[in-house]
Amino acid sequence: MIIEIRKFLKNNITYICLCMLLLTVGLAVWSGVGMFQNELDVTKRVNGNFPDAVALVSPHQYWVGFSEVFFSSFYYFIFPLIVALPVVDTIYREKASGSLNYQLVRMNRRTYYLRKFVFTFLVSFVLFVIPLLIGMLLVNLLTGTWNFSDFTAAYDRLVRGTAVFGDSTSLTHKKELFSDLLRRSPYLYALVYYLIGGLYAGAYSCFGLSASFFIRNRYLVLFTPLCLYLGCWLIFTLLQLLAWDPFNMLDPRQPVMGLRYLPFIIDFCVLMMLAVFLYVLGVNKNRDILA
Amino acid sequence: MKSKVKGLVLASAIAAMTVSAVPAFAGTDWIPFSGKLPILQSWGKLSTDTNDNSSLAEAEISYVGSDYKMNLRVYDIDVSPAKQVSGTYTDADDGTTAKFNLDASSEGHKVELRGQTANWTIVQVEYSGKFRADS
Repeated sequence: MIIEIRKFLKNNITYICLCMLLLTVGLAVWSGVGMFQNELDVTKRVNGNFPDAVALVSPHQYWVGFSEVFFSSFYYFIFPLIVALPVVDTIYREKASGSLNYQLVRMNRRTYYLRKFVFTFLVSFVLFVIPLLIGMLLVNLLTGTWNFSDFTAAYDRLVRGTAVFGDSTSLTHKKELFSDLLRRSPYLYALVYYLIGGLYAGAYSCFGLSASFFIRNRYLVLFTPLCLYLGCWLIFTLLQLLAWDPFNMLDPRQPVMGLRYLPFIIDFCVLMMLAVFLYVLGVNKNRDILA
Repeated sequence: MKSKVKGLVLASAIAAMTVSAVPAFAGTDWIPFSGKLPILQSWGKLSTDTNDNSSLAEAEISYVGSDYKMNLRVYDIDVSPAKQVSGTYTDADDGTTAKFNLDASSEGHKVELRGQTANWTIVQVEYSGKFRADS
């Protein structure tokens, strides 16, 4: 694994991708904080006599992925491409350069391929999650809010039906999924969504890595994870199965009707099983070259 | 007995004068709207009305395409640039009634209900409903 880490750190694309992710997060944070200030000002003017309504307008709703800010949605649109770029074509490049044969002479074939798969998954997971956590810290820093107890108390009253509001705009903060986590802390709620997103990011990259055995064009290999993600978006939209589409499922705002817990698990398992199946097929297909 | 009756009559007269002095707002007429929301979560203009008094503005959404949700806001369009004068109602879907407290500065002004999809979409989402600035 140390060899993989060294190759990853020596790859210039790693740093380009990291910069792109951080830039997207930075722009999302900048816009989000401005939007939060505006929404809070408006809420204080129209519902200032209702403390619960004011408390429910919280900076955590402008963490990356939580708001309508363009760059926040853009992160969730582009992540399969950017988190996969440093790792998805490693087998392709090593095959093309001949270093694959060199490495297989020196180590067990199974070890090599297992290591590649696991490393690809982990790197993509980390590349997805870390910028989001940085974005969370930046929003908290810029708004000066680290403790969300006012929000959780008001949210708890909202769920119990004892909150007092001036109009119905505050009622909409109630979430269908993971509502109990939000009652305890927005950090828990965000972490769960970010971790689930990280798992899917790893799965998309592993699918791309598996596809690299069968695709002869390097650029097609790089874009395979994004193509799969957007392809699912298109297909699920046309089939009107919005709650089964990862593009909607991974969004912490829960922006479509009918979201449930089961599709998270089923979609991920299907994606990983497909990736593993293709990977094993690809490894066996290349067996004669490596003998 | 006579003083009791006099007291009752006096109380009834005062009550009748008080009730008749309270202005009764009948609410403005509903203005129906329908159309398609822009993609990429751009805000679309749904309907306009005049905010005559400080009662709640109301929007009834009768239909949002497929399983999509939409967000709603009210803007004062008599100022430049248009100014947000209500909180954001998020995740409106079929059968939603959204009630908005409007900023006092928008009283007497034309206000506009705007909507956006709750997430990026690759299709234009259809919607229909009705709006009034005074309930």
